[in-house]
Amino acid sequence: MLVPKLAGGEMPKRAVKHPNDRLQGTLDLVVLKTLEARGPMHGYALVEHIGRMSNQVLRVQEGSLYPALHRMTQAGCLRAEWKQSENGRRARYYNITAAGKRQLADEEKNWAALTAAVAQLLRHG
Amino acid sequence: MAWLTRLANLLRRRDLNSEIDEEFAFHIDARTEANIANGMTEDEARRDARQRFGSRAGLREETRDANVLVQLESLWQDLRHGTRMLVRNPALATIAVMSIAFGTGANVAIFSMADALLLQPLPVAEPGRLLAVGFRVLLGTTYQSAASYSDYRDIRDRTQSFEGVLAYDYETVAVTARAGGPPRIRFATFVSDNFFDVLGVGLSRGRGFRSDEGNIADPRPVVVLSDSMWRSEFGAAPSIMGQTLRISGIDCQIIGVSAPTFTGVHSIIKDSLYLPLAMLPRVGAIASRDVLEARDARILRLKGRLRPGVSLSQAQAELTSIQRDLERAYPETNTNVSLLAQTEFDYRFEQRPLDSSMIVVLTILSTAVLAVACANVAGLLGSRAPIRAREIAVRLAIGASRARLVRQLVTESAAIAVVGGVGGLAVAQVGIRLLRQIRFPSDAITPPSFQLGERALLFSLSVEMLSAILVGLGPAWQTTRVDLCGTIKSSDRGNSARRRLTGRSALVALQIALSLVVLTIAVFAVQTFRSELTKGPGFRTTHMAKVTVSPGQAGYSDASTVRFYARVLDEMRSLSGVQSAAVTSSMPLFAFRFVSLLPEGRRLDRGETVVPVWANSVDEGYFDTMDIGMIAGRPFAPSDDASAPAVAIVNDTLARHYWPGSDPIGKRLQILEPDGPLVEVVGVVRTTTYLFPGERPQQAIHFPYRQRPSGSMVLLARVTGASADHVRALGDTVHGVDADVPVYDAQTIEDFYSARVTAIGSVLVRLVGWMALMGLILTMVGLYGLVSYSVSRRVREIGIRIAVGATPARIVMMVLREGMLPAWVGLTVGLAASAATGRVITYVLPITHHVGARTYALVVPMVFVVNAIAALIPARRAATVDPTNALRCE
Repeated sequence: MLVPKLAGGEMPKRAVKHPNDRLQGTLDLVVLKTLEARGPMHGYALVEHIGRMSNQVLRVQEGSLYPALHRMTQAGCLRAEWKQSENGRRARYYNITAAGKRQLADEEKNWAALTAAVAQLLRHG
Repeated sequence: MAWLTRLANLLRRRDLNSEIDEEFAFHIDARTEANIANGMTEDEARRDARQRFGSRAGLREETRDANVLVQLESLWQDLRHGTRMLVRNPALATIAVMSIAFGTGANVAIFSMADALLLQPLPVAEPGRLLAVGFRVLLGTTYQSAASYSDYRDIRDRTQSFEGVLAYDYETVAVTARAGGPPRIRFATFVSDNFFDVLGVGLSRGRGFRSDEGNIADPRPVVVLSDSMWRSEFGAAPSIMGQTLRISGIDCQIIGVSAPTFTGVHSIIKDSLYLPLAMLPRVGAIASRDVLEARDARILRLKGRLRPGVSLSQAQAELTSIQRDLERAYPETNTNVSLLAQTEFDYRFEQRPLDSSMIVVLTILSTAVLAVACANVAGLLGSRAPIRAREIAVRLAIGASRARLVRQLVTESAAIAVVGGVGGLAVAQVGIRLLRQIRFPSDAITPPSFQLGERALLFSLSVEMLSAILVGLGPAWQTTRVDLCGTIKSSDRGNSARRRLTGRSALVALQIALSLVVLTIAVFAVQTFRSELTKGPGFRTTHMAKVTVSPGQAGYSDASTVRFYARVLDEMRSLSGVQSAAVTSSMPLFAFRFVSLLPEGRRLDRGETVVPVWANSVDEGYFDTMDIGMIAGRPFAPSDDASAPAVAIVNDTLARHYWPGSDPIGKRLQILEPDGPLVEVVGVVRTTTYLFPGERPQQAIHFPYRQRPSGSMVLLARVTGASADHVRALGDTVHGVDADVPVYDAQTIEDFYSARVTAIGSVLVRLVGWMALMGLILTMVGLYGLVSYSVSRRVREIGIRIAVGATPARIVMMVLREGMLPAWVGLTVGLAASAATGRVITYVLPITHHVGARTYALVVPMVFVVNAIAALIPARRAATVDPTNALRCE
């Protein structure tokens, strides 16, 4: 779902979709973090924001964000509501819940541990 | 709060799709606008936005599936979809549902039998922690777990593994509920004083036994009634407490009533009363005073409650060490025996070997029927695989996940299984009604209740689920493993068709093999039953009346018992219509008493054990009345009394066993009992049936009742005219001699024989026969379906053959030859499997008959013809194919 930009700018047709996949977890983490920092957003804004903030390194295949958003909403990590958007159309806005914040704290800890471990490994082989 | 979201989702589930669409549309529009702002043309902008978004249909499905409730909803959809599919194919649905109904029905009926006799846990607290403890003792042909009272005390006092160990034994007693009323025979449970405590069973009224009431030297005549007896005999009167009840001539004080949920520790003896074990020598039919003293009088059953956390093997290790101590202390009596702890199931299985073997055989059969049924439904669903392949392929192509599709297909088979399961309950009910025809020819026994209870329903549900998965998974896997491009493009004639056909042929071959096994057993059962009925038990089964008489329960001593019977017999012989009369201490096919014996002078090798032989005490008229022919020697005479030399008559099986080739008359046998006599053989009689019809020839010995009296004997009268007219006269004659002597189990020999042999036999034969018929029908349907299917896929080929001049006969032969291939494979495999099952039967059922040529000669042609008919119908249809139509259609 969340894949590094490829050389030719081409993206694989379908990304990995196993729910327990590491990348999946990363997508959850990024979404939760963004919503915590910037408040309610719709899906399009989320994609744009994540792309901008990561200097286009993290490019989400745009549609594949939605199953994740719905799944997290079902799990109670996000709350969704229809609101008027900046251009006047109805859009579905997502916001982080208290449970989502707890989840985020956990994920951040995991992520830190994982990156530290990988960094360690790369440094010392 | 998540559940609120879900609830909200449920309420607006209709909108979910449109919401997702709107959300997607917003995204794509926003991206398009951004692209235009970056300088793209409108077309370019929109194309790019769509491409970046990905497959909308697939994502929508995925997004929907992320909603938990939607998953439930899709299950409901699957179910509706599945039922709709079935309604659209009524023939397929009917056959599938009926197959499952047969399969589960047979299993549920057999389960209810196994449950009533073997599986149901004891109605006590934490039954899982209760183990049967005892020495393995050979009784007759079977091993029993038993202990003497002295053993019991030692085990109880030494064990650390068990919280408590209780002992009990069953004996018939005569109960006089109302003064002056007739005494009634009941099974009493004689129990150690800790009985109710160790079982963890409360009393609904009064109290249980105190420890001083268990004192062997000074037993207290107190009794606890079972709840059912309190209701049936005393109308549940609360005032009964403290009153006395006359039990086998002794006034016993009623101290309590057991809880209604407690129906005893035996699956058949339920309506009982409980007396202190110490009362056993005084009240029970065992007159001997030392039944509770001799260390080798192993008549008690023991149950121990494991301490929490102690395992069976730990308890067993401790018992083994206790046994070693006992062997050192009492080498005379405790050598060569093993002390075992068993689970309740193992214990019952060993206690009731005949029932257990029967249940094993019936379970094999019902499982085979279920397997045939499942193979049938799997074959049917598999045959639809090509038809559905395109639908499935399209859905896969637009992004449905394979798991989702498999789930949908399994849901379909689950729908079949559930509907079939309901039908199965009706089939099971028929089977159970059949089982209920099994009667027990005794007043003292409550027949086991075969019923469609909670446990049977639960079992049926699990069988349904199992068959749904078995039936659904295979075809579902096959159907979803499609080659996308090939299937969508071409018609339903994929190149996997041949593989599919082979898979289905294998299923049909399996069906034929299994149904051959079931049919073999059924035909074997019918042949065995018929030959036993024709042959008869070897004694008279018509024109005879019988009644059991227990002077021992009315305070008679051995000597007065003999005088009593002699007088009753005299009076009976003078009755009009009575041709001859006799007494026996054990009725063949009903009561089992055994003695151990050895020819005079023969010593046992170390480690060798004696197989006890069936024994009874009879009068001089017994062999004549029962029509049991003398082969050599003389019958008993009135002069064979206590003062004369001890004599016996043996059957020819025993004579041949100990004195092959030489004359047994005049030989002497040592009876292996404390103070056991040396008896001289004065006669040899024919071997009859003693335990059950079809048994292997049993050794038997008969004693003159004057030398070996019994407190309870069966009175037999051979009569002219209908036996039923004389039953009452027998009891009246006994009561004319002494009105206090209990009389019970009064019946005609015809009723007795029918209950013991004919009814059970015909119930079993019908049960097995029905299962075989179901198996055969299902197999026929299976093969018919297979051949029809294969013909339908070859219509074009057949059309060409006919067009180039093949005769109808050739076409029929061609289809038949191919169609019968699985039948040949099935027959071959089935014969091997039947031979193996035949071995199992000979092994678990101790009967003379064995599955052999006589059975196969009937079964193999039957299966062959039935399958040939099943294949012939579609083959003949193939021959009528119109070549022009066949070639035109695609």
